[in-house]
Amino acid sequence: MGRYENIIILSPDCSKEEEEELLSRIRANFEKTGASIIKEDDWSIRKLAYPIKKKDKGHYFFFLLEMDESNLTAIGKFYKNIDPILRHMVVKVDDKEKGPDKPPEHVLFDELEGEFS
Amino acid sequence: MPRFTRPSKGQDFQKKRVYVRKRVCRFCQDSSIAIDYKDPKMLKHFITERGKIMPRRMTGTCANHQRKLKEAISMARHIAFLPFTTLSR
Repeated sequence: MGRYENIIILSPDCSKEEEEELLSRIRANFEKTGASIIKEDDWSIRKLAYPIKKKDKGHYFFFLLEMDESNLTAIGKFYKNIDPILRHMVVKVDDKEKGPDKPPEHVLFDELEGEFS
Repeated sequence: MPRFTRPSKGQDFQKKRVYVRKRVCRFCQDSSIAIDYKDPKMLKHFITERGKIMPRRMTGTCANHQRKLKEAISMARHIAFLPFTTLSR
């Protein structure tokens, strides 16, 4: 058993109902694979540093999980089959990690952008 | 009359010394700064305005922390906190 951080980027076009339905599916999947959720966070819609699937913005969700290492592939496969998920990432963290208190700050990277757009 | 006069050793040494600036690793100096991929504001100091990772000789980071920085930056790029390049848009 170990602790894992999981970040998901959802498409910003999703309606609220679709999002909640997706999240409940994701939570059910965690239960099915034997991962327990320690912390769940909504980082709201943020600007992406580069477009993914032609989307400039994404809705970030953060999960702190406790699970076995063998569940990693199952979770990855589950995310691959869902279309509105733009990106996902699972990272192993320290066993005493409690997760961040607040979402990361917004940073701008368009110093050069004006010249080319 | 000689065309070219070579500076004496003492002068040469002094001239070079002007450009040498002592840099120290920020993370070794202040242990409260954690290298975290979820902190794009901190990582932004270690990439150029084009989005490349700055070399150790420019930032003065020690080898150990530079390796951890590299990992954090590549993870932040995957989750779209940092750009691969700023010309992509």
